[in-house]
Amino acid sequence: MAANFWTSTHGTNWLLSRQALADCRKIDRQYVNEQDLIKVNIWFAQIITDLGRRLQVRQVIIATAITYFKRFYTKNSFRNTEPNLVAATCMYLACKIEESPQHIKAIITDMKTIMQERGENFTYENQKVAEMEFYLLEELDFNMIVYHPYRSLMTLAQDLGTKNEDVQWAWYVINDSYRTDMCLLYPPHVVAAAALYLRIALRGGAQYGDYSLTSTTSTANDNSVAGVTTRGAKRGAAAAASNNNTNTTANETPKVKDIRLWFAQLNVDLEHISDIVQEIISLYKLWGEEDKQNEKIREILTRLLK
Amino acid sequence: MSSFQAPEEEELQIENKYLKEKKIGEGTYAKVYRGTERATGRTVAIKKIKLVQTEIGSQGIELSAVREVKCLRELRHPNVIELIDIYSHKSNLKLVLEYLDSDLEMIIKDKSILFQAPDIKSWMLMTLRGLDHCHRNWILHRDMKPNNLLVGKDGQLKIADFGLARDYGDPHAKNMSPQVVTRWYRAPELFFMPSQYGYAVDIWSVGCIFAELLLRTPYLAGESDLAQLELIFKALGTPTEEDWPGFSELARDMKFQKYSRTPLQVHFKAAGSDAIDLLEKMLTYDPNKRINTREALLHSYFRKLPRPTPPDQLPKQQKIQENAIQQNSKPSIQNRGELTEHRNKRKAQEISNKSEKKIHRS
Repeated sequence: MAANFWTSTHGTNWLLSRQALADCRKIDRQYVNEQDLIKVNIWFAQIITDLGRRLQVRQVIIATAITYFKRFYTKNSFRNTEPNLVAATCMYLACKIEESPQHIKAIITDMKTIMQERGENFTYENQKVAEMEFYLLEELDFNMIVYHPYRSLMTLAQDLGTKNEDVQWAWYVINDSYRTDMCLLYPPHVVAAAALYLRIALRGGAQYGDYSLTSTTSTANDNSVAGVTTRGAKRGAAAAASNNNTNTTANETPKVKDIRLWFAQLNVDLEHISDIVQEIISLYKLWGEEDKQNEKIREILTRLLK
Repeated sequence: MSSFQAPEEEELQIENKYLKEKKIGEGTYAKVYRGTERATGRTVAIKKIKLVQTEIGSQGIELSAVREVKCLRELRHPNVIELIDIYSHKSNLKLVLEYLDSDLEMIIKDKSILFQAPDIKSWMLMTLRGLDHCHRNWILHRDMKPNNLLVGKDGQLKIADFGLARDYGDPHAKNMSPQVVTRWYRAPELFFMPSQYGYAVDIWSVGCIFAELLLRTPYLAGESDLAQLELIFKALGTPTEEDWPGFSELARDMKFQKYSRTPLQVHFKAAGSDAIDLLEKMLTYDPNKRINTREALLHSYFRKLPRPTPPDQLPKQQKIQENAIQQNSKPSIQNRGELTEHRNKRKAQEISNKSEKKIHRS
């Protein structure tokens, strides 16, 4: 991680403690319980992701937009705002900030389509989004540069000599982590380390490099749970989680690294890593439920937004 | 919610704190006023950002304004302009910035000022320190030129105008526009339209500024993009595949006259060998081999005597721009720019006439 992450606005102003985050959400919690609020956050992260996909923007832009959305809601409650408008504006601003500006009309058109797919209407026009942009900027305290775990992942992966397949997988885990509060709680390099840990350490094997053996085991497990879930890296996560008892004998090649030692030497608190890993695993559980319960989220949103 | 705040209220807030004096310029996306911070008496620039209005309605805040705020919000360094305050209300954004009444371009052009070697070293040191701070925060300036290096009454130099700057953290950054950096300070790789470039483009510009400080005239003042390349090659030798791996691939559709390299010492007679060595490392063709800010700051040029002049002892312009302020400082800077451009036009014209014959697109 860049030495200057800690002096950036992200490092100094936007890493919250769990307690501080809970305090931010007091108003919303009057209407819905904690689990429901998590579902609401997954719901809006999905809307922003879908909007980004339609606009064909880079993953980093989606991540920035979701981070803006989450930061905005540390200072505002869902009840007093119009989250669909906020979501669209976050994407609009993120595109500008990441140097891929989109036409305001394009954002609105695609947002309309996405909301229609969900049986809702998006009725805001240009002027509304432009005004919201000002308000959003103000609530972000004009701190617009967001650090993401992707770059750290690349650095870490290179150091460990990670296989492409594993890097790709960890990349998906990072994408999914934006559905949780991790981007508000932990610095990006810790999230990156956790994503790698989830893939590599939990899959079993004390050493990295004994690849062929673990890889086949993992595939077998993938198949066994294939029916349960399909989206994103979920399948792999389930496999990794169910697979952590598998012990593979070390293949003594010079490239093999002791995983525990490697993670221990990272200068990252292992407790933080395991906290993130837990969050992500429970995200995958909850996310699966949310799939089947579209009705449920609608009921929650009605209660929350009135 | 602040959007319910009356506009007058926001105006009042700003007026309580700052005394607005006069309009000193109007750019594409902002009106700039000079003012004074009531509490401290320091001079500030108040930049009122305009909203982009197109035929289809509002487009929100202009991109370069967003860039400037985005970058300045992350940066805090004695050699980077300070963003003191931001006021926003509905469709109204005002930035309060440090105000400095001179810039390096004015100083270079003021022929009544004599530059000593330690003065040049001092300006270079401040420029590189400020730029190093930007780069360490993953921010590319993309428009380094003497006109954007402001100089205060205390002699401190500050990098300004981040309207083109962008952050460069994304390993998958593509589609970076090569149409950045004022031509004379533009790195050679930018002429070949790569969509990816990096911090090295800022270093090239600083190299050109260094040369300009030594020569007291723009070093490579090309009239057109092609003429600019021709000028660069003439001054530094046409790059070979060895100088710049991949060059022949980049330039495969163009043919360039093969100039051989003249040692820089020939052209920069007054400069010491350390200065020449640093200049050479900044004006290295291969962006991967070009020196970075860290290495440059550790270069022997800065470690050896003479020591850089302390900022407050640097030569200043005598009559500090009273007229410039009276007749809008920004336009006057532009006028100066045009003057040099005229001066260089003839020279550049000659060169480009010649170069037309040598450069063929196949």
